[in-house]
Amino acid sequence: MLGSLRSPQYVRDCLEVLRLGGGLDNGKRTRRGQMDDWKYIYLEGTNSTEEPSTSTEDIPQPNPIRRPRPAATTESESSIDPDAGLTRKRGAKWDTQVVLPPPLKYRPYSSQSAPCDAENPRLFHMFWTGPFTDKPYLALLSFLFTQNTGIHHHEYPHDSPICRPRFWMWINPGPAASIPNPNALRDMFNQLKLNPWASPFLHPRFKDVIKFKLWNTTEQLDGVPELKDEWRAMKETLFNSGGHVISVPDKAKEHGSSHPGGNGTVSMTLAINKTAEEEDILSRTGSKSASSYDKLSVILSDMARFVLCHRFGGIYLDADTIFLRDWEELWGWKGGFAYRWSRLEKYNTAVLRMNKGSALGTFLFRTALKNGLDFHPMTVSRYTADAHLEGLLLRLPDALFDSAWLNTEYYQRERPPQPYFTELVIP
Amino acid sequence: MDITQAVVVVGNFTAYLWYLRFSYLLDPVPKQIGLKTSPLNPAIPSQPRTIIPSRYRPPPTVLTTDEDTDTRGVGPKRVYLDIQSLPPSVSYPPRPVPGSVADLDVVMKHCDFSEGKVDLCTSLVICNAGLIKVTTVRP
Repeated sequence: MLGSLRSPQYVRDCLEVLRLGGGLDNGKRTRRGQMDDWKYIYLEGTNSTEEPSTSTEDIPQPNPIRRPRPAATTESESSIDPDAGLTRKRGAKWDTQVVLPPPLKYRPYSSQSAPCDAENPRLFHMFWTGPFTDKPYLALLSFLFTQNTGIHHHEYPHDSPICRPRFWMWINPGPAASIPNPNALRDMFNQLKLNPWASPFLHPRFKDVIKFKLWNTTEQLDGVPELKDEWRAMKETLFNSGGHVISVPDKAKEHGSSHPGGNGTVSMTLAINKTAEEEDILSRTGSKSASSYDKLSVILSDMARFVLCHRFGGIYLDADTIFLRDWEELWGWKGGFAYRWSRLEKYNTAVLRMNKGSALGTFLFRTALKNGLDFHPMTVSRYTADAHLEGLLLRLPDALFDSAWLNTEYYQRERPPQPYFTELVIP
Repeated sequence: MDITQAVVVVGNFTAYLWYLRFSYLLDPVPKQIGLKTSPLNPAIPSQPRTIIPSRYRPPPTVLTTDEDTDTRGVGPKRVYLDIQSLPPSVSYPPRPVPGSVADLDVVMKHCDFSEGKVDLCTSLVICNAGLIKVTTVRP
């Protein structure tokens, strides 16, 4: 149908819109039509535009309109099963009714008493396994270079109108399946001090904006109310990715007495059989090279990002991220988001924003629990699609976070987002 | 495999209803959620409805029940900013305005890649402009 055709959505054109709207161009603008349509950054007023009114039905409404069926008038209609039309997973029981807290009050920036909103902490989370390398170093450095952290102040001014973002670097001390050490926190800081890529960030100047945090899987899973009573029963499938389960041999009993967490500290804190083949997959660290890449740590990080966002709020970023500009306006938009898996209508959770203790998080954890704790992005895409909840986790276009992706998969070759390097001249 | 197999419904629709207050998009709520009223949405400003002339719409007695449910914006007014850097201060972009918000509805409108539409549209333009020669094959 002609009417449904849109102009081609080239990443390159999108980048132009984003650049101009954000004032990132050099001011030499070509006059074009429809520029008002390109403005995408706004400020909100303090007050509501409309008081909730009960008499809106009197206002003439266009028809057809998106209005739901009116409240049931007959008995048969009111007794319709609210679960009608939803298919239960084979062999699973209905989950118990979830009790959710009352909704938070929507507070625009202009009506907040302080620039930071406690309900929407500006926290970046990153997850790293093994020794610190140049990769997370670059992520941290680019964070300091681009975000409005105010580190040029000796004492950060109390009356600053800016909510400074913070960065929590989560360090998973060992390979995903190894046993934690009771002195893990001290060891972590000792290793960071000795590591040339990490030690600069331990300087007191960064103390308010960068924090190194020790990741402990047991503690983290116990901190998720939706999981804490049930995850231990799933330890066989804890390393589940897209339905592919890697089982970790249970040696916890042998080491039971030396466990820092005492009883029930199992699963990802298991010791492992060190046969050559198992060691291959179970105990590699995530940072050596692409060829000896720790599959378990990747699977663990698939889950960790949801745990961190749900427990603390904020934005999770994969460790290969470099910030290119200030994320102020993205923080301003308070819904959950991830981005798109290239051409597919699936999520890539390399960037993931969720609110602290959100209902979306509750839904995802309860659903994942019934699906072997599978947090592979493709599986998460199925959870939200099947439940018609995709609107709650916006799938942002690749242009925002990985503008070259479509092009490297042979899309939009005729109009690439950046010019190609056709030759390399070395003088 | 049946695609609905993955989901165990959690707490009926409560999860959605609760979270709806934080749905920042203009997109309607899918009809499958089964909302019975249009909820108020404090995250979006009130949207004037464009009312089409009566001759183009069915009589008011006809109920359209097979539609998604929109949310009624009751949020604060938005002021869209004109952010420009002018020479000579163009080496570095300006810091974003504290508290400013990216309207992701606009971003989606300009940036969401839709494979089918792009291909169809491109080929339509090519065909209409006579840029390709359509060779008909005789039986």
